[in-house]
Amino acid sequence: MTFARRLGVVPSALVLLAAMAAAFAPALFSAADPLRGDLTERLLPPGAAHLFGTDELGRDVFARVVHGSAPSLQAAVIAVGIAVLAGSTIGLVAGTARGWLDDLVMRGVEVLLAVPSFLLILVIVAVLGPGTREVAVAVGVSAAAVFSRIMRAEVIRVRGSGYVEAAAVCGTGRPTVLLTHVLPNAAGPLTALATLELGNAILTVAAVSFLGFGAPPPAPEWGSLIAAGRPFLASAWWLTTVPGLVIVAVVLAVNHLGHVLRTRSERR
Amino acid sequence: MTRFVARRLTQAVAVVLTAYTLTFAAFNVLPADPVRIMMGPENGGDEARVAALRAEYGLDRPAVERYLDGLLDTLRGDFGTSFQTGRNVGATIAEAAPRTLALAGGALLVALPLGFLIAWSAAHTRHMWLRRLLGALPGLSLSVPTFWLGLVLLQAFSFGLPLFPARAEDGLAGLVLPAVTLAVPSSAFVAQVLLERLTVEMRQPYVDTARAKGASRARAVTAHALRNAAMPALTMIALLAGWLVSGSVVVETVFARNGLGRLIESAVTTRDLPMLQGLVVVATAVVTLLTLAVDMAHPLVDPRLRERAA
Repeated sequence: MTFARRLGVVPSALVLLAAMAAAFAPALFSAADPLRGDLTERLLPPGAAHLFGTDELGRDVFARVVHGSAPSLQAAVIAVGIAVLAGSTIGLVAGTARGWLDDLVMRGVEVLLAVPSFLLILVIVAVLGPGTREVAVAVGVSAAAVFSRIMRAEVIRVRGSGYVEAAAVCGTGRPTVLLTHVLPNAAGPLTALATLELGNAILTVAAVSFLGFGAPPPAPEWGSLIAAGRPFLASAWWLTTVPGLVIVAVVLAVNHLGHVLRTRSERR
Repeated sequence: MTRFVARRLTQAVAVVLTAYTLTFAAFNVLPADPVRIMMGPENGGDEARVAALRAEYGLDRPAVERYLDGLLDTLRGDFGTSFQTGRNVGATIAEAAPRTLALAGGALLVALPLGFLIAWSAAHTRHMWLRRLLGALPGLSLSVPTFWLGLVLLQAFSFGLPLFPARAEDGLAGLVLPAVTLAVPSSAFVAQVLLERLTVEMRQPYVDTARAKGASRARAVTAHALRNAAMPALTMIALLAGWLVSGSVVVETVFARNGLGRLIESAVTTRDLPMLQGLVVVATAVVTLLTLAVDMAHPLVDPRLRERAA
């Protein structure tokens, strides 16, 4: 890893820390109410009083972005959690069982991968109905397929290695081998992939919310926040541009950390 | 070879039919119920309306019967009737497809050369800073929400500098901004895969051999490394197609263009299940057939595979 890359970890971690703090304690960042505005302060450009300006109802955009980070990031984290758990379980089962079960499961995964992911997410949203949690589940299910593939490959790779054979010769049971040898080995690549997937999940959750399938209107969510600014593209640029920049900063930070993790796990 | 093609075609058909089965299951197997999905969680209580709708769309027949009928119809290319418009799903998709194909084609026209250029220059340059800069570009573009990029472009080049129409359905001028929006992440995708392969290939001994025999660095990249990097890069074409379908949903919404993406979005909004099912089958079929086509094309690119097949 180059020095510059290691240096980049610090700002990325700071951005991520700030985003997490905003999600858990929004009051730390902004005292303004994200839902109620002052109509005399409609559509003010960014300034000292309102860092990101105000929207058409006089609501503080910075407050809305800060309060929007909780649902947006939560949905992304839940999605990745579902993807990791479901995906690695499927991969673990398929890789351990082999034979017809492996064939069947992996064919199913292949089908999931053949459906364009965003279409798959929207189909699930159509079944579950709109809402932050529903979107999280949909994004998680669509990402699970990739994790199951990685996990299965890891299981098969580790199973073929000498120390697993040695463990088997020593009389170690299959579950113990899985827990003590396969899982720790798979943890590296899985964490790296999960971090990279988190950046993706933030983008996808925002896109689904932008289309209007996230939380219903007054609640601030990063995607719907930007969608709400669409009618004012020509007059109030800050309504769409500034929240988008926040998303870009957070995703860049997450992806950067993901790449660092991946390089590290590949070098091992 | 013929046997290989036949086997792969059967597999492709199986994948598409499984996609059909999975969507059918998602819409029909407990606790899902097509009528209740259609009516939405907010007004599902009206039992008389539920029964009326069920009879109207033939949903009162047993699920197994509907599944088998639908499967046969799908095999014949008939995707049924839209709940929302009452029109044939296949015809509606066929009508919307050309607009999205134009958008995707426009995006590829920008993305392929751009991605190729970025990867090629990064592999060719000997300036470390330039290589690092070019190598960082794809990651940067992939961190930008596509819908936001579209809005920013609209703001800058339609409202700021009135170069392109904000809402032009037809004509080339209206296609530029949407195509560029879709092209940015696509080119990043192309550049990333190609550069990764090129970096590996440039370290191979055959590149040193070519250089030692007097080939320029540009020639070593173009004629030697690129040929070997091309095959893994080709594999991503099917992925790219799936990605373009996904991206078109957002881009067509931002630029108010009618097309497949808009069709997907409105089918989800109105919970038009036959339409969604038809869209899933068509999209999956396209991605699967492209994967198949790319696999078939491998021997054309790689002579080693040709020899093995012969």
